[in-house]
Amino acid sequence: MKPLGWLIAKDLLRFRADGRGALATVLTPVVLAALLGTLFNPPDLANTVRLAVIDRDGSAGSRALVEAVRADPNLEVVPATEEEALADVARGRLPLAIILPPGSGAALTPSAFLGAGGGPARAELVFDPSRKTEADLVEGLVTRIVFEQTMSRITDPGSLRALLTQARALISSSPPDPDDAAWLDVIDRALRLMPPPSDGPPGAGSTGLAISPPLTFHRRAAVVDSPLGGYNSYAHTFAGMLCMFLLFVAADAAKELVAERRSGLQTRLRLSAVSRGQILAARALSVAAIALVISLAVYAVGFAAFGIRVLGSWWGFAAVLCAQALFVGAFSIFLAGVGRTERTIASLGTFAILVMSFLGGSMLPAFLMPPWLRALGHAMPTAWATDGLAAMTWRGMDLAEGLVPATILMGYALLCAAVGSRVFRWD
Amino acid sequence: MIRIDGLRVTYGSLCAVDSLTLDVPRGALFGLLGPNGAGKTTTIRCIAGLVVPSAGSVTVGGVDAVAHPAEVRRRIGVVPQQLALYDELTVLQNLRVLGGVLGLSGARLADRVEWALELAQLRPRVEARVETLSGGMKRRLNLASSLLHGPECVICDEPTTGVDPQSRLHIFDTIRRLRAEGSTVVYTTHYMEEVEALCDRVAIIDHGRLVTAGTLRELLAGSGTPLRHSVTLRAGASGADLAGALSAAGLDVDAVVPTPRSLEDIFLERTGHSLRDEA
Repeated sequence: MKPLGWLIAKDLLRFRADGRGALATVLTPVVLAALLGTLFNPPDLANTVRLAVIDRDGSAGSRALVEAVRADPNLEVVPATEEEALADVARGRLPLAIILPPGSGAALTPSAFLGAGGGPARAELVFDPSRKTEADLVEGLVTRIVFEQTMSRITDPGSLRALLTQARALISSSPPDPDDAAWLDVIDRALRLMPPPSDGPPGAGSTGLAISPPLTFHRRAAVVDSPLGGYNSYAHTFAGMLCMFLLFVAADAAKELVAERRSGLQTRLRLSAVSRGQILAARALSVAAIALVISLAVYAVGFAAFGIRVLGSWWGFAAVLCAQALFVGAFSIFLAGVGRTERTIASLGTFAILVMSFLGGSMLPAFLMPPWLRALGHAMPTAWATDGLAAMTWRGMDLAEGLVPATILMGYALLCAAVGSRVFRWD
Repeated sequence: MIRIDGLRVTYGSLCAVDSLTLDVPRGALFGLLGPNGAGKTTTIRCIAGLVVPSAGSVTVGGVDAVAHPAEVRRRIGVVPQQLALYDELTVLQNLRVLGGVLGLSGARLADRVEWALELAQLRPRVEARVETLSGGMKRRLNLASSLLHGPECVICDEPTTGVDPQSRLHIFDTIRRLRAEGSTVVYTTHYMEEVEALCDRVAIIDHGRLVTAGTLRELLAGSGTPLRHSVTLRAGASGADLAGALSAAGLDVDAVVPTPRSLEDIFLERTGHSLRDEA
């Protein structure tokens, strides 16, 4: 074996010698990725949104709305008085509460469209500011329920008869107009076509006119067509957590490199048959090898226990993993060069890693960030690593889609290695 | 073996070594003395080609240390003052890795590792991690690790720092053995008694300049201080007997002063000279 090989072997032996540390570098990202993956599970597996609905109106219409909200599979209405609901939201025990004001039921009748009942009711949505996304979701769902209910009533013959009769009375009582006769004729013909009124409440025993919304949605996730399945939230979080913890491995390696200068080991190595460049290259390569071992171990757990699958190109997956490992190796040289002391590397490294991980989407989904932060995230190598791994796993992309992030990561690796070796302090 | 001519090293406004000229003959056991900050370490780094001097030259075996540092490093072995070892690795792993980095491989590497284990007397602890070794064992391993490639010239930078008397004696024996096998040894230390015990030639530097140099005998003879001889009396003999005998022999004796035994003498007498390898 050549001296360079011995230098790399030495780091691998040291990594293996610290068995508990090596295990922690694999288990920590796995545990965190598993927890985060649970949070970002697909919507059909996710928990329902809990809320309280306070009905100040108490009419048949408002009660029907509360029942419809309760029946929605995405919502869980918890029983609470208004006072309890507001207190729970304020304390963070409940994400939101909806308060239906007096007159809500009247506002939901078809006649409200003609100005009866004093116009639209204004419901209050009280939400926990830290859970705005759930408030947005519930507002949309309840609005849909209201429209469905209103449409159902319009299509009910009894309600429609009442609405037409009310419209006829309004036209008849208004000042004369040349078009009145034509409108009244249309209404009269419509009333004649309708079935006779029944004795029951509006809508009872009637199938309505079967009017349906002009546009409906069929939801379909944009994932690769594979018998193995599609989106796996763990595939996303494993990529993010792995990337972040590999960067922490790089920071530890950078600290070791600086410690070797202090301990005289670096001088000993410089007195041997290797050059400065070889010393740094060996360190970068050994860190890259360790990063690759950790990556394989983490994904082995992901494949075995969390259902992660490479639905795209295996070669692309390997290319991204290797490029990420080389970037991690080069990043250790960069940190050692720029940080110079162990203390500085610890603080600077933690800062850089957390910022890169945050912006790169390793910690939070990018959609939660403002647009300018999302744009900045594209400049982060972490974003290319996590997106590249996502493309090869659950997105099921081909080799070309893996080579792009791999190439960009290699570029970052070369940049880090060049800067780090240039500013590295030997004495 | 080592020729230093007009060496000058500056760090900004600080002059670490100033016009230093030295000649270390082949096969010498050369003591390099000086207080902290005198320029000893900088001089060693120049010899090893780790520092490029501002002026002057350093040659090792006729090879210029600035022009051909790699060739010079093949000829020298530097025993660093710090314990430059990998704590997490075993004794054997350290020797194999450091030998490999020094360019050894195959049977030659295996042979030299065996030689180093014997030299450091660490064969019983070959699979022990370095972090579990005692300070003395680490010092011996530190020394042996620097000699794996069989250098012609060994430079020891305070190699006995923090060791027990047994390990110090072992290190002394090792250095004498190296010298006996033909190596040139440069030995730096703060302990004058170590230089007196080991070295035949000495240079003293201070503020980066050479203060004096020569054989130990020359330095002591030229100091103006009357020569002192140490005589160990057998049991029963007294200082008065010695003075009487010397006078009877016609020697002009200035004084016979009893010298109490040192604490180290007593320590070694009670604990023996064998190495203590309990971590």
